Amino acid sequence: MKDPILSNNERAFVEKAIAEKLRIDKRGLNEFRNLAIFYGKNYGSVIASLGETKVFASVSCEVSTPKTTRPNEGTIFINVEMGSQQNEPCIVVTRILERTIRESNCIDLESLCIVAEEKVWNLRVDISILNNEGNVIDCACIAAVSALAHFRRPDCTASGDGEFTIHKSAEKDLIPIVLHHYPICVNYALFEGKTPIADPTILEERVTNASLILAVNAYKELCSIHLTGVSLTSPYLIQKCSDMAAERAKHIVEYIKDALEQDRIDRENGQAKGFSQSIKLTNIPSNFTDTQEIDQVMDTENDGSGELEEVMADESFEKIDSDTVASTWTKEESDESSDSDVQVIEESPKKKGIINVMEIVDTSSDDEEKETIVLN
Amino acid sequence: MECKVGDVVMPGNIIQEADALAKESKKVVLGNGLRLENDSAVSSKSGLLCKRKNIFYVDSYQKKYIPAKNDNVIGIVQSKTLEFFWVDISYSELAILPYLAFEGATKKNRPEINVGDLVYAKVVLANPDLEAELVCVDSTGKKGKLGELKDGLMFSCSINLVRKILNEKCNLLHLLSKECPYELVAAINGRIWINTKSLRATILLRDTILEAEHTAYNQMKDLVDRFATELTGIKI
Repeated sequence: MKDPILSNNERAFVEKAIAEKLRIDKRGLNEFRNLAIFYGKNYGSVIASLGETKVFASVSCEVSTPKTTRPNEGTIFINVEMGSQQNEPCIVVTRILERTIRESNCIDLESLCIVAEEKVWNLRVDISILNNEGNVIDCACIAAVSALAHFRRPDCTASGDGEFTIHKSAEKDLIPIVLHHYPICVNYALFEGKTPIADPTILEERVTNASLILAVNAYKELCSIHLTGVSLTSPYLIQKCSDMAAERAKHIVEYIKDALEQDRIDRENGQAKGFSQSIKLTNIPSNFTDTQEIDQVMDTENDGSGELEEVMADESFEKIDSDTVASTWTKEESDESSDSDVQVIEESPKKKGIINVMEIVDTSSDDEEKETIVLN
Repeated sequence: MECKVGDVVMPGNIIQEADALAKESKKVVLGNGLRLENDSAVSSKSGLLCKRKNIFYVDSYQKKYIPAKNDNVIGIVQSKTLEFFWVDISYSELAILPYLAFEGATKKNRPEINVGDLVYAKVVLANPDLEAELVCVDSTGKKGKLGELKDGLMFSCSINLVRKILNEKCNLLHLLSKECPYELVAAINGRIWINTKSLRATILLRDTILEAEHTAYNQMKDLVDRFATELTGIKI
């Protein structure tokens, strides 16, 4: 079903609010939502979230023949999906990301060549939009770039006669992709063609009639520009937006690099948590409990870890756990497929926590008001 | 597995307590999240099993609204036909709102409502095989509080939150009314409409109401205090 028409009330309210320099989520006009990046257990899998917008990206690689026009370059393919299907907004996002990542030449494609004219690495970036609360393009771009920066491909040695061997991770260390720079998309919604709003929410995106998407890297170089909708845009406005975008891109690149460094340290210490850290326990609706009780639950969850491992031995648990991110969505790289089991173990304490909260709920629950009951 | 009232149930669990009660030839009502399968009550949702008098239901957290008779809902008018409006009530199908279901409406005197307007309406017909039907009048033909909602801000939230703020035990709306005059419609289809005198107050009010989802009943006072502090800029 297509999206229902936006109500006139919401449209009028957003327009009035923007005219008074107010936004529904209390941000300033040039203020962004909180960014968070979580790296998975597998190399090249990332969940990026911008406010409530959430995007999962995973990079995989395979050996294929190069294009005849570029015999010594690897290839990159980007695929964007929203709820396991492609629709028009997905195609727009794919196109912008291709322009940003492939056509800005940020990846050293020549380093992906194994034997010229015969074998090259083909990179594939799969992006799933998990939740759309507006500004998918920024979030998808951050996820894609940080997934590429995180990805490691197997090492490969070619002998003189055109033969080559791909080494397993146990034989030779995996090697990262060479990125020359990190292009970052920054989306501005334009109201009345002159007021730029940074990081629009889904409501603002639907109200506005124009948006300006700039891709900038940390060196303040403009990689691509995309203007949608109808608006009278002055050169001054584009200049102003690109200055702001450059500032933003610099911050984000620093953030990605910090996150990568943190992930590297965690991996060295064997403490990589995977996607389980992206789940927030405090977001449980609390009809009856107070926060202290939730804290208690969080404490007990740590204590009970020994008992949990017993549960894990039972294989049936994995079947129940169908929504585990890593085991279902990641394109498995041959040598790392066993990691997904570990993922399940890591996530289960959180699930136990949720069940505990529900148990507390039942002790104090009694009558609900009328609206609860829906008689069939 | 035995399921008692107050337990967490999963889809497919058999509710023996309801069956036992039915065997004693007493009338048992299966509410939200329960269905009759092979002459026994089976849960179709995961949540807490609750019981009130002879009504069993599952109290679950959900965002998707399924129309039921006598629900008050906020709808967005999607299109008009000769006889009725098509209204979106955040269900997978649109609902019907006939022109004659307004106070004082006749064949010639049609309500002045346009595409994109908000209406507060009551569900009178909710059959799984038919479109839901809405009305904006009560049984005596008066509109009461139903009808078009003008200005203000409508936002979506979970059904859980609407039930929560409408619950008698939740004093949030009462406390808020002491800080700032406002109009509010909380509809069970997960939509809340608010209106105040200033845009800023409306934005703050929306934020406070959404935050209530993660706040316990006994902490609503703190939440409202924070709202008042932000609204006036004066620390209490």
